[in-house]
Amino acid sequence: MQHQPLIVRWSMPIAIVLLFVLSLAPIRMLSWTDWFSDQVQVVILPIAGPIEFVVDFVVPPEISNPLATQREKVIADELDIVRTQLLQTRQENHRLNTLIEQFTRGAAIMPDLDVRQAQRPRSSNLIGDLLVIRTGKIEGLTQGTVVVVDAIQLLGKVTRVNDRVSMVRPITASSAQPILATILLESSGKNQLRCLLTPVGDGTLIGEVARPTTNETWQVRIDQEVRLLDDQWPQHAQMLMIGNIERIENNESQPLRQRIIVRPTVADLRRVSDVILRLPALDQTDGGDS
Amino acid sequence: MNWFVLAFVAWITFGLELALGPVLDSGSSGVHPSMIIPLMAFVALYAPRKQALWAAILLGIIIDLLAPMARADGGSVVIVGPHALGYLLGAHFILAIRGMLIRRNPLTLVIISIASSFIAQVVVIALITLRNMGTSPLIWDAGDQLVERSFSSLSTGISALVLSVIFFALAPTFGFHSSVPTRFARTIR
Repeated sequence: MQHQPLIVRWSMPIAIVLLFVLSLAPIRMLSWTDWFSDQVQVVILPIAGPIEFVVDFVVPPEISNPLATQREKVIADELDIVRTQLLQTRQENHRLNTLIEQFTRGAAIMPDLDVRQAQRPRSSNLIGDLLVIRTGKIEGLTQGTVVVVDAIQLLGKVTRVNDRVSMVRPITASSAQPILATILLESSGKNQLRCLLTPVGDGTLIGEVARPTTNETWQVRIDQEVRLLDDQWPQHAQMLMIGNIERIENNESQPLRQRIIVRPTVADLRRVSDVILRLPALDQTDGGDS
Repeated sequence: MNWFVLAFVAWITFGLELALGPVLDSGSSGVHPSMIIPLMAFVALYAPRKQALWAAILLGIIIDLLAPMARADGGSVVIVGPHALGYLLGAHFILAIRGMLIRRNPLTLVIISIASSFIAQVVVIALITLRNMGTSPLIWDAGDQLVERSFSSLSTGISALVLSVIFFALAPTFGFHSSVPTRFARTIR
Protein backbone atom coordinates (compact mmCIF):
# COMPACT_ATOMS: atom_id res chain seq x y z
CA MET A 1 0.00 0.00 0.00
CA GLN A 2 1.30 3.43 -0.93
CA HIS A 3 2.00 5.70 2.06
CA GLN A 4 1.72 9.42 1.51
CA PRO A 5 2.50 12.23 3.98
CA LEU A 6 -0.50 13.28 6.05
CA ILE A 7 -0.64 16.74 4.46
CA VAL A 8 -0.84 15.24 0.96
CA ARG A 9 -3.58 12.80 1.94
CA TRP A 10 -5.64 15.51 3.59
CA SER A 11 -4.91 18.34 1.15
CA MET A 12 -8.01 17.74 -0.99
CA PRO A 13 -10.54 17.55 1.89
CA ILE A 14 -8.93 20.60 3.50
CA ALA A 15 -9.15 22.53 0.22
CA ILE A 16 -12.82 21.58 -0.22
CA VAL A 17 -13.72 22.66 3.32
CA LEU A 18 -11.77 25.90 2.89
CA LEU A 19 -13.49 26.70 -0.42
CA PHE A 20 -16.89 25.93 1.10
CA VAL A 21 -16.20 28.24 4.04
CA LEU A 22 -14.95 30.99 1.70
CA SER A 23 -18.05 30.61 -0.47
CA LEU A 24 -20.26 31.39 2.50
CA ALA A 25 -18.02 33.88 4.32
CA PRO A 26 -19.41 37.40 4.91
CA ILE A 27 -18.39 40.03 2.36
CA ARG A 28 -16.46 42.10 4.93
CA MET A 29 -14.10 39.14 5.36
CA LEU A 30 -13.35 38.84 1.63
CA SER A 31 -11.53 42.10 0.90
CA TRP A 32 -8.20 40.24 0.65
CA THR A 33 -9.46 38.34 -2.42
CA ASP A 34 -9.19 41.58 -4.45
CA TRP A 35 -5.40 41.30 -4.34
CA PHE A 36 -5.46 37.78 -5.80
CA SER A 37 -8.01 38.90 -8.41
CA ASP A 38 -5.64 41.70 -9.45
CA GLN A 39 -2.72 39.29 -9.83
CA VAL A 40 -4.79 36.90 -11.95
CA GLN A 41 -5.86 39.81 -14.15
CA VAL A 42 -2.23 40.86 -14.57
CA VAL A 43 -1.50 37.37 -15.89
CA ILE A 44 -4.63 36.79 -18.00
CA LEU A 45 -5.36 40.21 -19.54
CA PRO A 46 -2.17 40.39 -21.69
CA ILE A 47 -3.35 37.39 -23.71
CA ALA A 48 -6.98 38.59 -23.79
CA GLY A 49 -5.91 41.91 -25.36
CA PRO A 50 -4.42 40.52 -28.61
CA ILE A 51 -7.29 38.06 -28.98
CA GLU A 52 -9.78 40.92 -28.55
CA PHE A 53 -7.89 42.88 -31.19
CA VAL A 54 -8.27 40.00 -33.63
CA VAL A 55 -11.92 39.50 -32.67
CA ASP A 56 -12.66 43.22 -33.19
CA PHE A 57 -10.96 43.01 -36.58
CA VAL A 58 -13.06 40.00 -37.61
CA VAL A 59 -16.31 41.17 -35.97
CA PRO A 60 -16.06 44.98 -35.80
CA PRO A 61 -18.16 46.62 -33.10
CA GLU A 62 -21.11 48.58 -34.47
CA ILE A 63 -20.86 52.35 -34.47
CA SER A 64 -23.75 54.80 -34.12
CA ASN A 65 -23.97 55.90 -37.76
CA PRO A 66 -21.56 54.09 -40.06
CA LEU A 67 -22.46 56.29 -43.05
CA ALA A 68 -21.56 59.60 -41.40
CA THR A 69 -18.33 61.29 -42.50
CA GLN A 70 -15.69 62.26 -39.97
CA ARG A 71 -16.72 65.93 -40.19
CA GLU A 72 -20.40 65.08 -39.69
CA LYS A 73 -19.50 63.02 -36.65
CA VAL A 74 -17.49 65.90 -35.16
CA ILE A 75 -20.37 68.35 -35.75
CA ALA A 76 -22.89 65.87 -34.32
CA ASP A 77 -20.69 65.40 -31.25
CA GLU A 78 -20.41 69.17 -30.79
CA LEU A 79 -24.17 69.54 -31.12
CA ASP A 80 -24.71 66.82 -28.55
CA ILE A 81 -22.26 68.47 -26.17
CA VAL A 82 -23.94 71.88 -26.53
CA ARG A 83 -27.38 70.38 -26.02
CA THR A 84 -26.17 68.52 -22.95
CA GLN A 85 -24.70 71.73 -21.56
CA LEU A 86 -27.97 73.53 -22.24
CA LEU A 87 -29.97 70.87 -20.46
CA GLN A 88 -27.48 70.77 -17.61
CA THR A 89 -27.73 74.54 -17.31
CA ARG A 90 -31.51 74.34 -17.12
CA GLN A 91 -31.27 71.60 -14.55
CA GLU A 92 -28.71 73.65 -12.66
CA ASN A 93 -31.07 76.65 -12.77
CA HIS A 94 -33.82 74.54 -11.34
CA ARG A 95 -31.48 73.25 -8.66
CA LEU A 96 -30.31 76.76 -7.81
CA ASN A 97 -33.88 77.99 -7.54
CA THR A 98 -34.59 75.14 -5.15
CA LEU A 99 -31.37 75.95 -3.29
CA ILE A 100 -32.35 79.62 -2.88
CA GLU A 101 -35.64 78.48 -1.48
CA GLN A 102 -33.78 76.16 0.86
CA PHE A 103 -31.40 78.95 1.88
CA THR A 104 -34.29 81.03 2.96
CA ARG A 105 -35.40 78.18 5.18
CA GLY A 106 -31.91 77.61 6.51
CA ALA A 107 -31.28 74.35 4.66
CA ALA A 108 -27.80 72.92 4.12
CA ILE A 109 -25.67 74.30 1.32
CA MET A 110 -24.54 71.95 -1.44
CA PRO A 111 -21.14 72.99 -2.83
CA ASP A 112 -20.95 73.60 -6.55
CA LEU A 113 -19.16 71.01 -8.60
CA ASP A 114 -16.51 71.08 -11.26
CA VAL A 115 -15.59 68.13 -13.42
CA ARG A 116 -12.47 67.22 -15.35
CA GLN A 117 -12.63 64.58 -18.06
CA ALA A 118 -10.03 61.99 -18.93
CA GLN A 119 -10.12 59.63 -21.88
CA ARG A 120 -8.72 56.16 -21.23
CA PRO A 121 -8.74 52.93 -23.28
CA ARG A 122 -10.84 49.91 -22.37
CA SER A 123 -8.35 47.21 -21.62
CA SER A 124 -10.57 44.16 -21.62
CA ASN A 125 -13.70 42.63 -20.20
CA LEU A 126 -14.12 40.42 -17.18
CA ILE A 127 -16.63 37.64 -16.90
CA GLY A 128 -20.06 39.11 -16.17
CA ASP A 129 -20.09 42.32 -18.23
CA LEU A 130 -17.47 44.27 -16.27
CA LEU A 131 -15.18 46.47 -18.37
CA VAL A 132 -11.55 46.83 -17.33
CA ILE A 133 -10.17 50.36 -17.78
CA ARG A 134 -6.46 51.13 -17.75
CA THR A 135 -6.41 53.67 -14.94
CA GLY A 136 -7.18 53.65 -11.25
CA LYS A 137 -6.60 55.32 -7.92
CA ILE A 138 -3.41 56.82 -9.32
CA GLU A 139 -5.59 59.29 -11.31
CA GLY A 140 -8.11 59.87 -8.58
CA LEU A 141 -10.77 57.33 -9.53
CA THR A 142 -13.07 56.16 -6.79
CA GLN A 143 -15.92 53.71 -6.57
CA GLY A 144 -18.85 55.49 -8.20
CA THR A 145 -16.85 57.58 -10.70
CA VAL A 146 -19.08 58.25 -13.72
CA VAL A 147 -17.93 56.84 -17.06
CA VAL A 148 -19.24 58.03 -20.44
CA VAL A 149 -18.57 57.27 -24.08
CA ASP A 150 -18.90 59.52 -27.16
CA ALA A 151 -18.79 62.60 -24.91
CA ILE A 152 -22.29 62.31 -23.46
CA GLN A 153 -23.50 58.70 -23.67
CA LEU A 154 -23.62 57.37 -20.12
CA LEU A 155 -21.75 54.07 -19.85
CA GLY A 156 -21.86 53.29 -16.15
CA LYS A 157 -20.14 53.65 -12.82
CA VAL A 158 -16.80 52.42 -11.55
CA THR A 159 -17.51 49.51 -9.21
CA ARG A 160 -13.97 48.62 -8.17
CA VAL A 161 -10.72 50.53 -8.25
CA ASN A 162 -7.16 49.33 -7.91
CA ASP A 163 -4.02 51.41 -8.25
CA ARG A 164 -3.72 51.10 -12.03
CA VAL A 165 -6.91 49.43 -13.27
CA SER A 166 -10.58 49.86 -12.52
CA MET A 167 -13.77 47.99 -13.31
CA VAL A 168 -16.87 49.60 -14.78
CA ARG A 169 -20.37 48.10 -14.77
CA PRO A 170 -22.40 49.31 -17.79
CA ILE A 171 -25.93 50.59 -17.17
CA THR A 172 -27.22 47.84 -19.48
CA ALA A 173 -25.63 44.98 -17.50
CA SER A 174 -28.27 42.73 -15.99
CA SER A 175 -26.65 43.19 -12.56
CA ALA A 176 -26.73 47.01 -12.83
CA GLN A 177 -29.11 48.94 -10.58
CA PRO A 178 -32.25 50.68 -11.92
CA ILE A 179 -31.86 54.36 -12.79
CA LEU A 180 -34.27 57.27 -12.77
CA ALA A 181 -34.47 59.01 -16.12
CA THR A 182 -36.35 61.74 -17.91
CA ILE A 183 -37.82 61.58 -21.41
CA LEU A 184 -37.40 64.74 -23.49
CA LEU A 185 -40.73 65.08 -25.30
CA GLU A 186 -39.23 67.60 -27.73
CA SER A 187 -35.64 68.54 -28.53
CA SER A 188 -35.78 71.75 -26.45
CA GLY A 189 -36.40 69.64 -23.37
CA LYS A 190 -39.19 71.93 -22.15
CA ASN A 191 -41.61 69.10 -21.46
CA GLN A 192 -40.32 66.00 -19.76
CA LEU A 193 -41.69 62.76 -18.33
CA ARG A 194 -40.00 60.69 -15.62
CA CYS A 195 -39.41 56.95 -15.68
CA LEU A 196 -37.48 54.30 -13.76
CA LEU A 197 -35.36 52.23 -16.13
CA THR A 198 -34.25 48.69 -15.35
CA PRO A 199 -31.70 46.78 -17.45
CA VAL A 200 -33.31 43.92 -19.35
CA GLY A 201 -30.13 41.97 -20.07
CA ASP A 202 -30.20 42.31 -23.86
CA GLY A 203 -28.47 45.69 -24.11
CA THR A 204 -31.65 47.70 -23.48
CA LEU A 205 -33.44 49.21 -20.49
CA ILE A 206 -37.13 49.01 -19.76
CA GLY A 207 -39.33 51.25 -17.65
CA GLU A 208 -42.81 52.60 -17.07
CA VAL A 209 -43.57 56.21 -17.84
CA ALA A 210 -45.00 58.24 -15.01
CA ARG A 211 -47.53 60.76 -16.34
CA PRO A 212 -47.95 63.89 -14.24
CA THR A 213 -50.72 65.20 -16.49
CA THR A 214 -53.45 63.96 -18.79
CA ASN A 215 -52.41 66.51 -21.42
CA GLU A 216 -52.75 64.67 -24.74
CA THR A 217 -49.99 66.74 -26.36
CA TRP A 218 -47.48 65.05 -24.07
CA GLN A 219 -46.93 62.02 -26.28
CA VAL A 220 -44.17 59.47 -25.84
CA ARG A 221 -42.76 58.56 -29.24
CA ILE A 222 -40.09 56.30 -30.65
CA ASP A 223 -36.62 57.90 -30.96
CA GLN A 224 -37.21 60.45 -28.21
CA GLU A 225 -34.17 61.03 -26.05
CA VAL A 226 -33.97 59.64 -22.53
CA ARG A 227 -31.52 61.27 -20.12
CA LEU A 228 -30.31 60.67 -16.61
CA LEU A 229 -32.02 62.51 -13.77
CA ASP A 230 -31.31 60.53 -10.63
CA ASP A 231 -30.23 61.76 -7.21
CA GLN A 232 -28.27 58.55 -6.69
CA TRP A 233 -25.84 59.76 -9.36
CA PRO A 234 -23.47 62.72 -8.96
CA GLN A 235 -24.69 66.19 -9.90
CA HIS A 236 -22.35 66.47 -12.88
CA ALA A 237 -23.82 63.28 -14.40
CA GLN A 238 -27.37 64.61 -14.54
CA MET A 239 -28.82 64.96 -18.05
CA LEU A 240 -26.26 62.67 -19.63
CA MET A 241 -27.71 60.56 -22.44
CA ILE A 242 -29.08 57.13 -21.54
CA GLY A 243 -30.39 56.38 -25.03
CA ASN A 244 -33.32 56.68 -27.38
CA ILE A 245 -36.73 55.07 -27.12
CA GLU A 246 -36.62 52.01 -29.33
CA ARG A 247 -40.07 50.57 -28.60
CA ILE A 248 -43.25 51.50 -26.75
CA GLU A 249 -45.47 48.83 -25.21
CA ASN A 250 -48.79 49.08 -23.48
CA ASN A 251 -48.84 47.81 -19.93
CA GLU A 252 -51.76 45.38 -19.64
CA SER A 253 -51.95 45.59 -15.87
CA GLN A 254 -51.85 49.42 -15.91
CA PRO A 255 -53.32 50.73 -19.19
CA LEU A 256 -52.56 54.36 -18.32
CA ARG A 257 -48.84 53.67 -17.95
CA GLN A 258 -46.83 53.03 -21.08
CA ARG A 259 -43.74 50.88 -21.00
CA ILE A 260 -40.72 52.07 -22.95
CA ILE A 261 -37.66 50.18 -24.13
CA VAL A 262 -34.56 52.37 -24.35
CA ARG A 263 -31.40 51.51 -26.27
CA PRO A 264 -28.14 53.46 -25.77
CA THR A 265 -26.79 55.36 -28.77
CA VAL A 266 -23.75 53.07 -28.76
CA ALA A 267 -24.80 49.63 -29.97
CA ASP A 268 -22.88 47.58 -27.40
CA LEU A 269 -21.57 49.40 -24.34
CA ARG A 270 -19.31 46.47 -23.48
CA ARG A 271 -17.26 46.78 -26.67
CA VAL A 272 -16.29 50.45 -26.76
CA SER A 273 -12.60 51.08 -27.41
CA ASP A 274 -12.25 54.24 -25.28
CA VAL A 275 -14.15 55.69 -22.38
CA ILE A 276 -14.26 59.13 -20.79
CA LEU A 277 -14.02 59.37 -17.03
CA ARG A 278 -15.79 62.28 -15.38
CA LEU A 279 -13.67 63.06 -12.35
CA PRO A 280 -14.59 65.78 -9.89
CA ALA A 281 -12.00 68.56 -9.91
CA LEU A 282 -12.68 69.12 -6.23
CA ASP A 283 -13.26 66.56 -3.50
CA GLN A 284 -16.93 65.77 -3.43
CA THR A 285 -19.16 63.47 -1.46
CA ASP A 286 -22.49 63.77 -3.19
CA GLY A 287 -24.97 61.02 -4.14
CA GLY A 288 -23.66 57.69 -5.29
CA ASP A 289 -20.01 58.30 -4.57
CA SER A 290 -19.90 56.96 -1.08
CA MET B 1 0.33 15.21 -16.66
CA ASN B 2 2.52 18.11 -17.74
CA TRP B 3 1.33 21.03 -15.62
CA PHE B 4 3.27 23.61 -17.66
CA VAL B 5 1.43 22.64 -20.83
CA LEU B 6 -1.88 22.78 -18.94
CA ALA B 7 -0.99 26.24 -17.57
CA PHE B 8 -0.10 27.54 -21.04
CA VAL B 9 -3.24 26.10 -22.68
CA ALA B 10 -5.35 27.41 -19.79
CA TRP B 11 -3.79 30.88 -20.23
CA ILE B 12 -4.79 30.97 -23.91
CA THR B 13 -8.23 29.54 -23.10
CA PHE B 14 -8.88 32.18 -20.44
CA GLY B 15 -7.89 34.80 -23.00
CA LEU B 16 -10.46 33.34 -25.39
CA GLU B 17 -13.07 33.26 -22.62
CA LEU B 18 -12.62 36.98 -21.86
CA ALA B 19 -12.23 38.15 -25.47
CA LEU B 20 -15.07 36.15 -27.01
CA GLY B 21 -17.52 36.64 -24.14
CA PRO B 22 -18.98 39.98 -25.31
CA VAL B 23 -19.08 38.82 -28.94
CA LEU B 24 -20.77 35.47 -28.38
CA ASP B 25 -23.07 36.85 -25.68
CA SER B 26 -25.06 38.97 -28.13
CA GLY B 27 -27.04 41.67 -26.39
CA SER B 28 -25.65 41.16 -22.90
CA SER B 29 -28.11 38.38 -22.15
CA GLY B 30 -25.62 36.48 -19.99
CA VAL B 31 -25.84 33.37 -22.18
CA HIS B 32 -22.48 32.50 -23.71
CA PRO B 33 -20.42 29.35 -24.14
CA SER B 34 -17.62 28.61 -21.72
CA MET B 35 -14.14 27.89 -23.05
CA ILE B 36 -12.81 26.68 -19.71
CA ILE B 37 -15.34 23.91 -19.10
CA PRO B 38 -14.24 21.95 -22.22
CA LEU B 39 -10.62 22.23 -21.01
CA MET B 40 -11.62 20.98 -17.57
CA ALA B 41 -13.63 18.15 -19.15
CA PHE B 42 -10.73 17.23 -21.44
CA VAL B 43 -8.32 17.02 -18.49
CA ALA B 44 -10.82 15.04 -16.43
CA LEU B 45 -11.24 12.65 -19.35
CA TYR B 46 -7.56 11.79 -19.64
CA ALA B 47 -5.58 12.79 -16.55
CA PRO B 48 -5.04 10.75 -13.38
CA ARG B 49 -7.81 11.20 -10.86
CA LYS B 50 -6.07 13.42 -8.33
CA GLN B 51 -4.47 15.68 -10.93
CA ALA B 52 -7.79 16.07 -12.74
CA LEU B 53 -9.53 17.13 -9.51
CA TRP B 54 -6.79 19.65 -8.62
CA ALA B 55 -6.84 21.04 -12.15
CA ALA B 56 -10.62 21.53 -11.87
CA ILE B 57 -10.23 23.32 -8.53
CA LEU B 58 -7.51 25.63 -9.88
CA LEU B 59 -9.46 26.50 -13.04
CA GLY B 60 -12.53 27.18 -10.91
CA ILE B 61 -10.59 29.43 -8.53
CA ILE B 62 -9.29 31.49 -11.49
CA ILE B 63 -12.86 31.83 -12.83
CA ASP B 64 -13.95 32.99 -9.35
CA LEU B 65 -11.15 35.57 -9.30
CA LEU B 66 -12.07 36.85 -12.77
CA ALA B 67 -15.81 37.17 -12.09
CA PRO B 68 -16.50 39.79 -9.40
CA MET B 69 -20.12 39.83 -8.27
CA ALA B 70 -22.29 42.94 -8.13
CA ARG B 71 -23.13 44.21 -4.66
CA ALA B 72 -26.38 45.95 -3.84
CA ASP B 73 -24.44 49.07 -2.78
CA GLY B 74 -22.97 49.48 -6.28
CA GLY B 75 -19.59 47.89 -5.58
CA SER B 76 -18.35 44.42 -6.37
CA VAL B 77 -16.85 41.52 -4.46
CA VAL B 78 -14.69 38.57 -5.44
CA ILE B 79 -16.02 35.36 -3.90
CA VAL B 80 -13.58 32.47 -4.08
CA GLY B 81 -15.15 29.04 -3.95
CA PRO B 82 -18.42 28.61 -5.86
CA HIS B 83 -16.90 27.91 -9.29
CA ALA B 84 -14.01 25.94 -7.78
CA LEU B 85 -16.42 23.61 -5.99
CA GLY B 86 -18.72 23.48 -9.02
CA TYR B 87 -15.89 22.52 -11.34
CA LEU B 88 -14.66 19.97 -8.81
CA LEU B 89 -18.06 18.26 -8.79
CA GLY B 90 -18.22 18.48 -12.60
CA ALA B 91 -14.78 16.82 -12.86
CA HIS B 92 -15.83 14.19 -10.33
CA PHE B 93 -18.84 13.37 -12.48
CA ILE B 94 -16.61 12.87 -15.54
CA LEU B 95 -14.16 10.73 -13.55
CA ALA B 96 -17.05 8.54 -12.42
CA ILE B 97 -18.28 7.84 -15.94
CA ARG B 98 -15.14 8.06 -18.06
CA GLY B 99 -14.62 4.30 -18.03
CA MET B 100 -17.80 3.94 -20.08
CA LEU B 101 -16.97 6.64 -22.64
CA ILE B 102 -15.35 6.57 -26.05
CA ARG B 103 -12.70 9.12 -25.15
CA ARG B 104 -11.36 9.89 -28.61
CA ASN B 105 -14.72 10.93 -30.04
CA PRO B 106 -15.22 14.75 -30.12
CA LEU B 107 -18.92 14.24 -29.38
CA THR B 108 -17.94 12.69 -26.05
CA LEU B 109 -16.27 15.97 -25.07
CA VAL B 110 -19.35 17.88 -26.23
CA ILE B 111 -21.75 15.82 -24.13
CA ILE B 112 -19.64 15.70 -20.98
CA SER B 113 -18.90 19.43 -21.28
CA ILE B 114 -22.62 20.21 -21.34
CA ALA B 115 -23.35 17.83 -18.46
CA SER B 116 -20.42 18.90 -16.25
CA SER B 117 -21.13 22.57 -16.98
CA PHE B 118 -24.72 22.11 -15.86
CA ILE B 119 -23.58 20.37 -12.68
CA ALA B 120 -21.02 23.10 -11.97
CA GLN B 121 -23.56 25.88 -12.55
CA VAL B 122 -26.12 24.26 -10.25
CA VAL B 123 -23.48 24.15 -7.50
CA VAL B 124 -22.57 27.82 -8.12
CA ILE B 125 -26.23 28.89 -8.00
CA ALA B 126 -26.89 26.84 -4.85
CA LEU B 127 -23.87 28.24 -2.99
CA ILE B 128 -24.45 31.88 -3.91
CA THR B 129 -28.18 31.62 -3.21
CA LEU B 130 -27.37 30.08 0.16
CA ARG B 131 -24.93 32.85 1.06
CA ASN B 132 -27.35 35.51 -0.17
CA MET B 133 -30.14 34.40 2.15
CA GLY B 134 -31.03 36.81 4.90
CA THR B 135 -29.13 40.05 4.35
CA SER B 136 -28.97 39.80 0.48
CA PRO B 137 -25.86 41.94 -0.05
CA LEU B 138 -25.45 40.72 -3.65
CA ILE B 139 -27.56 41.46 -6.73
CA TRP B 140 -28.63 37.91 -7.42
CA ASP B 141 -31.77 36.25 -8.78
CA ALA B 142 -31.49 32.46 -8.60
CA GLY B 143 -34.29 31.90 -11.14
CA ASP B 144 -32.77 34.17 -13.78
CA GLN B 145 -29.34 32.71 -13.14
CA LEU B 146 -30.63 29.17 -13.54
CA VAL B 147 -32.12 30.01 -16.94
CA GLU B 148 -29.01 31.92 -18.10
CA ARG B 149 -26.56 29.32 -16.90
CA SER B 150 -28.59 26.40 -18.27
CA PHE B 151 -28.57 27.93 -21.74
CA SER B 152 -24.88 28.78 -21.30
CA SER B 153 -24.23 25.11 -20.49
CA LEU B 154 -26.02 24.07 -23.67
CA SER B 155 -24.06 26.58 -25.74
CA THR B 156 -20.85 25.28 -24.18
CA GLY B 157 -21.36 22.21 -26.37
CA ILE B 158 -20.56 24.35 -29.42
CA SER B 159 -17.30 25.66 -27.96
CA ALA B 160 -16.44 22.11 -26.83
CA LEU B 161 -16.90 20.84 -30.39
CA VAL B 162 -14.53 23.49 -31.76
CA LEU B 163 -11.99 23.18 -28.95
CA SER B 164 -12.03 19.37 -29.07
CA VAL B 165 -10.17 19.52 -32.38
CA ILE B 166 -7.40 21.59 -30.76
CA PHE B 167 -7.30 19.67 -27.49
CA PHE B 168 -7.16 16.24 -29.15
CA ALA B 169 -4.37 17.46 -31.41
CA LEU B 170 -2.47 18.71 -28.36
CA ALA B 171 -3.17 15.60 -26.25
CA PRO B 172 0.32 14.08 -26.60
CA THR B 173 1.96 17.26 -25.26
CA PHE B 174 -0.13 17.07 -22.07
CA GLY B 175 1.68 13.84 -21.17
CA PHE B 176 -1.31 12.01 -19.75
CA HIS B 177 -0.26 8.69 -18.24
CA SER B 178 -3.33 7.22 -16.64
CA SER B 179 -4.89 3.84 -17.03
CA VAL B 180 -8.65 4.01 -17.00
CA PRO B 181 -10.46 0.74 -16.30
CA THR B 182 -13.20 0.40 -18.88
CA ARG B 183 -16.42 -1.43 -18.37
CA PHE B 184 -16.73 -3.29 -21.63
CA ALA B 185 -13.24 -3.37 -23.15
CA ARG B 186 -9.60 -3.64 -22.31
CA THR B 187 -8.04 -1.00 -20.07
CA ILE B 188 -7.17 2.18 -21.94
CA ARG B 189 -3.65 3.56 -21.43
